[in-house]
Amino acid sequence: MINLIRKDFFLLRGVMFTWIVGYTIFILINFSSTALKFLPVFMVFFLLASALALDDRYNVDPFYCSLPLKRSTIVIARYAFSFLLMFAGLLLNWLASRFIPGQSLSLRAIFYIFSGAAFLLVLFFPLNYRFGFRLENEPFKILGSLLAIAAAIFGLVTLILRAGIDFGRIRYLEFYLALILSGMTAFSILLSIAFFRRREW
Amino acid sequence: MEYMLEVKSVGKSYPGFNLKDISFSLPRGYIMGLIGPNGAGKTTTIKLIMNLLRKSSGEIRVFGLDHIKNEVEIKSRIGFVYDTPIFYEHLNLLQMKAIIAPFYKTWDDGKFQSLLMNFDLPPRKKIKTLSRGMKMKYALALALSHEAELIIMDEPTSGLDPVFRRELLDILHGLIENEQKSVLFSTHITSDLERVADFIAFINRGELVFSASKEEILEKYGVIRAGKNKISMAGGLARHVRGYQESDFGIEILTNNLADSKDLLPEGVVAERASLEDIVFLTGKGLKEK
Repeated sequence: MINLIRKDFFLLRGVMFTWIVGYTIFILINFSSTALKFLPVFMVFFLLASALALDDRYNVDPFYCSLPLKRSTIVIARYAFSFLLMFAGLLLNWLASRFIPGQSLSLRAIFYIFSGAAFLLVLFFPLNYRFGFRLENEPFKILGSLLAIAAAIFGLVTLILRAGIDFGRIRYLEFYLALILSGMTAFSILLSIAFFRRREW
Repeated sequence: MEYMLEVKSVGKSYPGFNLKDISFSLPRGYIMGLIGPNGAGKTTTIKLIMNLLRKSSGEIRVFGLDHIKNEVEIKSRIGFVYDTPIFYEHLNLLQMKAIIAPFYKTWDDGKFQSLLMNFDLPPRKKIKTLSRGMKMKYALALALSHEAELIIMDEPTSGLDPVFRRELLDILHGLIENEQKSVLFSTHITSDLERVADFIAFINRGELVFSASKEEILEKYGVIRAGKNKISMAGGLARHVRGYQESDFGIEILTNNLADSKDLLPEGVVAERASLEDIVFLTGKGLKEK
């Protein structure tokens, strides 16, 4: 699995370097705080989309399935890569917020950003493993639209958060959110594996 | 005899195509050619062996192991080459190798470098700039660098010029010299098989026509060529007939028992050994026109 994750980082090294340089420039010119908060999340999705697009372009799924790997390992590695990217993005965000006055992010804000991104990921992957190889199909386009709506809801939620609603008053909210998210992630992984195991080339 | 590959009564159903009851075995140290016209089921059979397609019935054993239960172990001992090799084409040969090598515990970098040299492959050239023949050789270099015991290739010679084709076949032939490796490759070019194959499995319209040693096949099969109305299928000949074609010049009949058929022919009609091309062509024609 580590080899698969390393492979993704290797293939995206150029794009990642560009993002990090770009992000550093944004910070140096004191870009707006909102952009600072959400750029890493956007970066995660951009890098993930790049990795999937690259695999799609060269149709490498059957190639990996002919290597000595279990199909479940291939799927789990993709999740692991995404979550690693997300952690890296948030770490970058947190580090930046430490060094720029007035830009600091609370742990709670980081948790919500992470949860929102993770929610989208666990929704996206089973759809991708079920329909990702049928990009020309109408159902996939419909599901893509649904995903876009989900992304819009996520944006709305973050706006509400920024408006200052004190979710801290709701006790154990983070705990329940983390619990739901963990369950969803586990279910999402199992579903993706089931879909990928049934794939034929 | 130790078998590297055993395919037993394997079937696969698609809408509009059925692969039925395919059985053959490949012993260690030999080359087997999987032959058949386009769309016969060769690629499907290879994909079933590689578990890229799920079989509907039957059993596949590689190195004596079930190909699904022991998938990871089996694939670490197989070198697989697609008809169109799959690579990240924007990478160069060394970069692509860096992705693949860690997946194999037995990867031998020295061997890889020497194979690149032997095959005249420039290590820092981008894959997208390679010709089809060079890509095929690169895929073979990757397959051979992890000490694969069984090399499976889908249509490796298709689309190659005669020089590259011959070179590739010579490489395949060289692989089995130490009698430790085996090769299974599919093709619709019969001359490839005549050059290198020890065993031949012939698939036509999703069904196995035969699987035997090349010598046995070439000894058994014959072609009877005669003028129109000079030969009758009545009597014992019919049971040996496997293919038939009639043209303005006469008729051609494929028999799977040359020795017996000769005795049944009328005077003036001769039967001769069939080439693999005759066998594939006339079997493809079938008995529809009889």
